[in-house]
Amino acid sequence: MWMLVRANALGRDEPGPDGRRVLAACPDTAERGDPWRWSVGLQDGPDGAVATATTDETYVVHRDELFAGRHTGTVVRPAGDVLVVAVLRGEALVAVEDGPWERWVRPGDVFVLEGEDDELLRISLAGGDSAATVFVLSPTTPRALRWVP
Amino acid sequence: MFVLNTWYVAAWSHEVARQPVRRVICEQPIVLFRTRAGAPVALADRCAHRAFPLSAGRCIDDSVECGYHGFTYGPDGACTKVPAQTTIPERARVRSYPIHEKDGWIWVWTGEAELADPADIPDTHWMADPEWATVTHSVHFKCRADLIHDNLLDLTHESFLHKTTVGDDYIYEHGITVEVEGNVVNVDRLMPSVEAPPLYADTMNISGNYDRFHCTEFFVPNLHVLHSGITGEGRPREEGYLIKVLNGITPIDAENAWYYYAFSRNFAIDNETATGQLKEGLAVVLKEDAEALEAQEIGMQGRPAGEFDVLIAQDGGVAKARRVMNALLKQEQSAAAAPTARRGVPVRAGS
Repeated sequence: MWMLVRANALGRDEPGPDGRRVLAACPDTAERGDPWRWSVGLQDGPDGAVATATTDETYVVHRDELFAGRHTGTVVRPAGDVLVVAVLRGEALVAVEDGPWERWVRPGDVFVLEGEDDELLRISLAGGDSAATVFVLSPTTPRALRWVP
Repeated sequence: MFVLNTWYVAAWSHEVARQPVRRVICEQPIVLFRTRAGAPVALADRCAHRAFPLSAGRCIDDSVECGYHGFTYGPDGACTKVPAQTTIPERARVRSYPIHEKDGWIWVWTGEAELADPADIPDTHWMADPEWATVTHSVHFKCRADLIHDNLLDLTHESFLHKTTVGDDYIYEHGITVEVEGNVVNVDRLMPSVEAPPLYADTMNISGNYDRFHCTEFFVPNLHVLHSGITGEGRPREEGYLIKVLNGITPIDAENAWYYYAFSRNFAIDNETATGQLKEGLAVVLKEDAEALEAQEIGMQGRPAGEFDVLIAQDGGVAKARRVMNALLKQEQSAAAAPTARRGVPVRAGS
């Protein structure tokens, strides 16, 4: 499942008291009682926007990588992991590595990929001061980390 | 609770004539009729005098006359005649609803009239376009409208519920891409290199493998446009054999909805046999959906408090659409609670 939620989407979470707005989370909605596993948020800092991930480390660990400028490259999402792209500044083009599908992603948007097969995603930044953080969230158990709406 | 500041499909154009007809939309009874010039009119279906349904009356000139005591109302809802006296009581008026006719559907705005803009109605031209062949149905679904939305946003049910009609085993094996922008939720499924389904193979005399796709575009809260079809492997979708399915979902009340359905195709458009078979076959598919969702509604009503759906990744579009719907409801509630502020926010595609 791939999911792109635009900054203007209705129903997005409001920023918390610390100014951090959750862009994506698992579960996406807590009210049904699914246990919380992770969230990725965006907030303004003294040096500009910062994206952060928080996880229940019993079940999920994460790593992140910052891309900037005119970076172009592919990112691997291993089977069972979740990949989240948050743009901090400028624009980033996310695209199927071997196909025509592509979308420009901007600050406030979020792009989530998950599933039980390996995937390759091409990320190309627009240049200038464009910057994006890519999070890879991995399960601590052999079971695939599936996104829960 | 319903989103009211939006356009709902109220009827097919051919259903609205000089004889008044009744519809209930979001628990609001509405009478529809046409003026002598053919303009559609929507008024509250409740005479101001004694609450008799105006739909049980008749049209006289551009007005509707109550069948009980003869109070008569013009297209603006103002009473124009009271039998036995010349003075019209000041309160003798029924609500007039903004109305718009487009591509074969009559749309009615159920919220604050000053917010109604027909430009907000999404594109539905396929069902009136001579380059496309269309079959239509309308069905009373005995379930809440939300269940129809969920059904249309998760087409993997085709593999199970419709396995003897339009289902294919492989549908659920292909992942979806969900996109959310403003009040629009898209759920796209690409099924690359699969055998041409019978509808295409039989009507176009083709065989072999094609890229098949389903893309449900949900203009929350009331219209799903399914962009479906097959195209050559790796070829752009617009080159292919295309289907556009318009699904106008209009709540009647908390447990019932009207489903207005138009299935348009851009291939074999002069094949009347295919059109007839589609009309018949799609009626079966809709019946399967209606029966399943009615059963689901019964299940929902018997479900204990605190027991919720167990949603999975495949339900991403379902969950996001629910969020958008809740946000729209919240907007209207907030506006209603702030009487000095602007009272509402209209639903606009992509807003």
